[in-house]
Amino acid sequence: MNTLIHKLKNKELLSAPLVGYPAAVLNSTTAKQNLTNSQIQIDTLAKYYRRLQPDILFPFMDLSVEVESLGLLINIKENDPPEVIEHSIRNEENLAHLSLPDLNRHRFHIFVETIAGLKDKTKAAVSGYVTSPFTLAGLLTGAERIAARTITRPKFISNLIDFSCDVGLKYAFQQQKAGADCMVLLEPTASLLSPELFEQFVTPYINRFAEQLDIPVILHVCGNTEPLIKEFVKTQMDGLSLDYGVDLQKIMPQIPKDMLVLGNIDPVRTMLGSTPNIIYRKTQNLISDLKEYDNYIPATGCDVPPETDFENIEAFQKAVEDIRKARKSEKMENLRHN
Amino acid sequence: MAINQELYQAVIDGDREAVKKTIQQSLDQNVEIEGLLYDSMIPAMREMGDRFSRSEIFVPQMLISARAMQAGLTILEPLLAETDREAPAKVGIGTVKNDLHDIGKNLVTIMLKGAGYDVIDLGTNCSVEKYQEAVDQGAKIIMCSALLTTTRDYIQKVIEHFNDNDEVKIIVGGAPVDQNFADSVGADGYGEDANSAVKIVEDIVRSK
Repeated sequence: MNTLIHKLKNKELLSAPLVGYPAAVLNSTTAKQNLTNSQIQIDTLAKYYRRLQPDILFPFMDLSVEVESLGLLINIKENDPPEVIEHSIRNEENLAHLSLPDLNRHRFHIFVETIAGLKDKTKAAVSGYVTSPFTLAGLLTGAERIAARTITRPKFISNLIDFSCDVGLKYAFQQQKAGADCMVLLEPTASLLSPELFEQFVTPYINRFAEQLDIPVILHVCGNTEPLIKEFVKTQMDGLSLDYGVDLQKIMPQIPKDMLVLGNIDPVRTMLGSTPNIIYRKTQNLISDLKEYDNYIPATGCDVPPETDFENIEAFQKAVEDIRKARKSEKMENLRHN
Repeated sequence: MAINQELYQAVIDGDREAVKKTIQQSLDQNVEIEGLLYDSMIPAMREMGDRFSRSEIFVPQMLISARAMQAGLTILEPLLAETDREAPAKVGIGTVKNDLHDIGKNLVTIMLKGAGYDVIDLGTNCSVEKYQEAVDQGAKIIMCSALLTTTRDYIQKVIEHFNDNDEVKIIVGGAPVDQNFADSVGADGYGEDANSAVKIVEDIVRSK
């Protein structure tokens, strides 16, 4: 059975910090080594799992995998997430020269093998990552260009997103086959859009993932996405991963009970920039504020930066575990009284 | 001079052709050029900035308005240079070293130009030396944009570089920074979004 669905059925309070890069400290490896060698990434994340036992494990977040496979220049740095440095798909002619990548080449296999390895070595639900169609299209043509052209050249942008969607689906199927329990669609660039443009350029394409995959699909959008929440809930997503800019207490009443919500401890100001005590307190406060929502999963708002102290991540996990224990004892106490 | 409603609306709508056409018609009628900029185009961009801050419009709409504004400025700038108007404040802006993200920086650049400032766009991956070049060209305000958290140390380095130069003010902005960070490293301002960044520049210019 799908590990995530099993865990959700037990109605435990799950924990899902978006942690990849900071775990590299556990086996003294670099980001680059993890992004280019599946055995290293498996070892890193398995060590992280053994230390903290998060309920959902995520691979290293890398939005350059798909772009690289399409022949555009990227830069894999030693200790940072990779960067896409070429955004050269500017017109229909450039697009016509692209073809769907061969999943046996490039770096796809690293992440696919990582999923399989983590399924084998841990009891966590393991998530896959796919660069979501609008964001992949933005990486191919440039974020500023795609934003403006949603208005000035919508036909070209739709065609580019359509192609990007095919790339993403192909990769997602492979990760599902390797054992992924859920799929997170990484859609940071969508935060630039108005609700109307989101409905036109994001919703139809992400829905294809929900329609075609057999595992839960979660949409991750960075930044303050409150103006887009109404559009998010109209999608066929099984879950939303929301960043720190969103007031979860305010928006939770709008979210259907069968749609998961992951979030939203600030990855930079809190996880990177504060202390274990503050992180512990903020995480507990957030969980406590949202205690009436069974569909809520404590998580960070976005990927935790590489240079974050590992004890900060431990503080987040401890906060979740302590509440879980307290809830269990409360439940036992109630049972005894009844 | 009264607002030229047609030009104002063309900037709001992001209609480049209408902007160029209206400006040309106004020039043919010998309308005062400074008025076109200060009474119609800049107020239109300011209105777009306010709508952006209220989440009534989003980045795509902002970008096409800014591009329409830019199309108008391309016609007006050579003519404005011939007038005796006071030179606008010069601002140097760039994404800091080891960061190649530029959408936030570009948005601020466009809005600053829209507000009438003389902007030196330093691009991405800017070293201290590159910011210094902008100051050498007369910039009194330096804006450091960033997306990656790893740039925070470098932002501090840029601020330290200009520590001894009281004439230069530094504004920081982008995902990895906030007001607390700006205060802790001694920046002169923090722009939470593109519109607030422009307002901080306006405050600094007014206070000089």
